[in-house]
Amino acid sequence: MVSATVDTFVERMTNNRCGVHGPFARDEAASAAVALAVRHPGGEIALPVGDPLVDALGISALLVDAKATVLRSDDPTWNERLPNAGVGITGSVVAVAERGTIALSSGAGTPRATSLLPPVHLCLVRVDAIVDTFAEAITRLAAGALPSALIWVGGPSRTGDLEMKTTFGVHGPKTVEIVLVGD
Amino acid sequence: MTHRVVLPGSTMAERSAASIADPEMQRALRNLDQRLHTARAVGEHHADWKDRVAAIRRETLADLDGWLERLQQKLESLGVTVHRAATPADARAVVLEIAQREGVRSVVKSKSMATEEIDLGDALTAAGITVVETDLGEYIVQIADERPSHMITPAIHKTLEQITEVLSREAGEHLPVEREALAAWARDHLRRCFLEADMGVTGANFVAADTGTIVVVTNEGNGRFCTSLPRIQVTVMPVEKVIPRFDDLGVLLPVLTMSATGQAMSNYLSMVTGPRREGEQDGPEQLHVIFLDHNRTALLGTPYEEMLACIRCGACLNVCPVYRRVGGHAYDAVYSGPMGKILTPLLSAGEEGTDLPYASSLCGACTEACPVEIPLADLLVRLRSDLRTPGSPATATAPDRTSATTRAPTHTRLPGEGFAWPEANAPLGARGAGKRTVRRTGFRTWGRVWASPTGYRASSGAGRLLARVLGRNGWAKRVPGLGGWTTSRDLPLPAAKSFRARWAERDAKESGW
Repeated sequence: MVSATVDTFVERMTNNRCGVHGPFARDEAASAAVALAVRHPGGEIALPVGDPLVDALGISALLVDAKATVLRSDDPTWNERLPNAGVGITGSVVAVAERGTIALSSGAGTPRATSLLPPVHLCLVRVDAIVDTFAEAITRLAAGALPSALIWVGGPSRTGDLEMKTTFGVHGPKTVEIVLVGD
Repeated sequence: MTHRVVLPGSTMAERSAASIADPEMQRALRNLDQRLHTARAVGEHHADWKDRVAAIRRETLADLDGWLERLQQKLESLGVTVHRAATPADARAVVLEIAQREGVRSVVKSKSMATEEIDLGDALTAAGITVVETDLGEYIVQIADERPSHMITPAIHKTLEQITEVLSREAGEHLPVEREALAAWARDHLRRCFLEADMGVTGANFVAADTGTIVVVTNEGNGRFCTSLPRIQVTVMPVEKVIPRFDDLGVLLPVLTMSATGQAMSNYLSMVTGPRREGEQDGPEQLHVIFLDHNRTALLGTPYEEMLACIRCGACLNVCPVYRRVGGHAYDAVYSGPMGKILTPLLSAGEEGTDLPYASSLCGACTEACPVEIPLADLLVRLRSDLRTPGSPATATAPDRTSATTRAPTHTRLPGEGFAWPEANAPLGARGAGKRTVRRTGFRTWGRVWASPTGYRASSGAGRLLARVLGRNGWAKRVPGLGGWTTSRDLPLPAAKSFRARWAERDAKESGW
């Protein structure tokens, strides 16, 4: 059963022009994520090696099975190759239903540019990490140690600078795919 | 300081006239209509939030020095270098020094009013460093050699056709007049700048004292680039941007973004806590934070301290009948609109923009829109008076905080100096002390006459008589003795019969029944 919180989150993110998929059970979530990643052509699939959710779902092995070209974040040429990657996959630490935004934590093994440089950002969100309000999310984050960069993403890059009409894809990803991971 | 004048005229009145006469400008400004009601959303959906946010801002200002001290300690413990800059010149010198020491050749900037305030772009360019504004609107303004006309939407004064022209010139090819195509060209072009840059310069929307977290809000992602790719990050932070606790962001950020653009949340928030850490593949190796004072702490303890609560959402611009008509360039200042009319003279200790506080009908729309409850209209009235008063809080600098090399000793303005609304439209005595005395005596006499019923009756009778001579269809175009007040407005004339007369007639009629 999907809670009202998750429903609101899906609605908000869809309005923000994200593709929202799931919620899936763990196994299905992993294969859905990989299927989505390989569907977007053009460039390597950038994969952080230090993300607990990406790790737990076994995304790395599934990508190899799918014969995808993968750029791992522990590769010494990561920084040189990331600008030409086609998809960046990340996990997330908390998401807010009411405001339609997802927090990503950066650190060793989870570079902050993974969700920035590739034209497609594929984001894994645990259903139990979705809270109702932004204040709840902030309080939850404040309770732990803050990473060097906490990035909040609402959807594809957008601007209002051209006659105040929303135009997508100025700097960051043009496409954001969200895969909801259930229990 | 470079002074880019994009509208002709030495006074706001002249520049406003030029703006109103420019059909393209007027067409572009109509896009502001979409933001007319955004500021109301906070009050409508979250009635108590304005009070909470206002309280957090006042709590900060009540002990600004203390919070800054705590912030500095926290930042330093994270490995951040903190610099304190009393003046814009000091802040520029700090950035230049870092850039030169580190061999920086190219700088990318995310949108920031603070760096506009210190005119950083020109200073770096003069030192031979390439500077690229990366917010699309700010980039358009930069290559057009203009200045932002709105703090959230810097190129609001330009139509799509004009933007296409500016970007085409830079591209060296004819770009189509299509938003998606223009955005795509800018994306490719600016992406190369991001990848090459040695230094990223940002402002800050908030900086939390307890965690040392710098918050940068954008929709495009340019703030993310500036804090992710370059090896050096410099954040210019006006002192009032400090907030006590990271936890305060839970209410501050929703209120900021709802008031600014009406979005439930801006598309990207970057919360940066210290430089790159051990084992990380990206993020700045060096992080510098500059606390910019620029006459702000001199306002503490004065009625103008309120202005330091401002969170730069732009809501007061969007609702202001003056701003909506003339646009930001008419102000010829970094900050425009209602908050700019107040802040510009204050930051310059009464040196700049002294005619701006008069460009207001005092309708109070700004006060109502302000999410942090700054009494903008009241401050405008007070400022009009204080700017003419030597030694008032509006004209005083804090000498101990001010670098002697960059700021001349406090110059006390003569009453009315610098005020140049056209003709004799100078109700507060712009034409010297003699005229002011006459006016003062006039008001005093008026007061005395209207204090007595006989005097009131006699004067209103005289007014009606005069109206018959001067007016037509209920309006007088020009009334001698009222100075400039009727040069741009018509005066409504008194009704043919006074209320008292009609009341007396009605009484007479009713008693006849």
